[in-house]
Amino acid sequence: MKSFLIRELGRTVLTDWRLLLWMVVVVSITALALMVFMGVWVASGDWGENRLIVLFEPGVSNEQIRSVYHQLGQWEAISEVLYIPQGDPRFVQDGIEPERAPAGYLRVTVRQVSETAEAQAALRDLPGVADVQSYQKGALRALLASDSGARSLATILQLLSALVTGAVLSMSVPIFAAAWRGELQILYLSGIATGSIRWSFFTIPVLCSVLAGVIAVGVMVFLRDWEQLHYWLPELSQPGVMGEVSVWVLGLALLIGAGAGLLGAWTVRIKS
Amino acid sequence: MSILVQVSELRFVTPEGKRILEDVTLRVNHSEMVFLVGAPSSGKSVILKLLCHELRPQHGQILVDDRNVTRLHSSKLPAFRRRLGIVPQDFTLPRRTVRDALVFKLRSLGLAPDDSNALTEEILDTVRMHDAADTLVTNLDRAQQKIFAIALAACHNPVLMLIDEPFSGLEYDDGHRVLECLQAVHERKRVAMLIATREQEWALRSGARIVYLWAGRTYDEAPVERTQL
Repeated sequence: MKSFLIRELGRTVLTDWRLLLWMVVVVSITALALMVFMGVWVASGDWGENRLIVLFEPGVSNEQIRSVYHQLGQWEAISEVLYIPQGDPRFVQDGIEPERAPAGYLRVTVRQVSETAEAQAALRDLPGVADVQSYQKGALRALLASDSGARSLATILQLLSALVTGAVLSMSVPIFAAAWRGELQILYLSGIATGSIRWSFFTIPVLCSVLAGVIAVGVMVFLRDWEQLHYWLPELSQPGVMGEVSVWVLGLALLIGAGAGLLGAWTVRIKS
Repeated sequence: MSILVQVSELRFVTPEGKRILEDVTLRVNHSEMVFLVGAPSSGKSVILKLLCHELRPQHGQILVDDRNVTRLHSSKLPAFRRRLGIVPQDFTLPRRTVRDALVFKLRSLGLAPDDSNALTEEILDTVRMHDAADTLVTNLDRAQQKIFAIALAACHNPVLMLIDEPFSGLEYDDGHRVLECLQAVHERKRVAMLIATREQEWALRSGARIVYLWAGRTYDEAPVERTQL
């Protein structure tokens, strides 16, 4: 019965252009806010970097690099090691100048984020290693790292985007309830439990928010190689980042949607 | 006939302290049609709301379908309401066609699509609304809207229908259509009906039992002051 009501709400959206327009606006605003949140979050590095790039001194041969590669494979703290040879397109992706690594370099993934700094120091002590750096950092990250004002602004922007999203999502419930006044009276008079009615309204912000989350991630994936975005947020092009960020963004979308849904559903007045 | 509704010594006072019902006694048998006739603001709607547990009395007992409504726990209310068919005075019209609204209600009650469709066709047939089945409820004329509300309340085969002012604001011909509809539903479904109205004429025309409400009390005969309703 609950799923029937949810389907009926969906049908109402498709048959009422005003509701459909409102839904498009809500999902667009939410997706935009989530993209802002995602961008600032990636640039802040709070998502937990555990990937390192190991560059070797000039003159180090492929054989020496392979030896280090095999050595690292035995380290408990390291979950993955990749050898990137000269000419590999991942040079560009990682922002490594070809002349800095004529024999290639290693991509290392540390098992625990908390062990990254320790692993970085240990890797520096290996024979032939010239430098161990974290992945390429973009202009936004540099800005946030150097300017406390920008950092505060970014935090405010994140909070604001979460608030705007929550407000817009929860507002959609009373709008749906107004469009469903007749149906609500039918349900009330038929003895449908208030909880069941509220549950169906609760799902509106949740579904909108998750849909917006998927759109936000999709847009970021689609645009991550766009020159402007790559300048500000090259981290998005790094392997594994989108997967990790997607999980967090969708989780956040679900959380905001659920909060807005609870708030909105509570306001639904069900009476004759 | 066995008793379906038994109301005794019912008293109701509004939160503002206005006495609406003083001593109401009422009985409705299974499959019986009863008209509750009273002047505007005499408390007819209040009695209907007390019967469906939308309001609670200060004193008295209400038994409906072997349930003590005055002591009904809120968790039991949905199941209780499903035994009723309620037609409120002010009905908010859904933005749906007649058929769609009927199916919506039946599906919301958990009925399978086939059963919902069958019951919908049955009630449309009973109230003779097949021609308007695919019309938006908001586009129906006033009498049709009243008939739609009755059909909606009756479609799931309740044991008791509580109908508030079904003839208000209708011309004679329209009122007649509504009365015919009520009688058709009553005959076909064998459902008990308590119909609150200020218009005694329709109650007399129906040939059903009439209970009069006057000064917060119920009477089986029209009080002298009420004969000119």
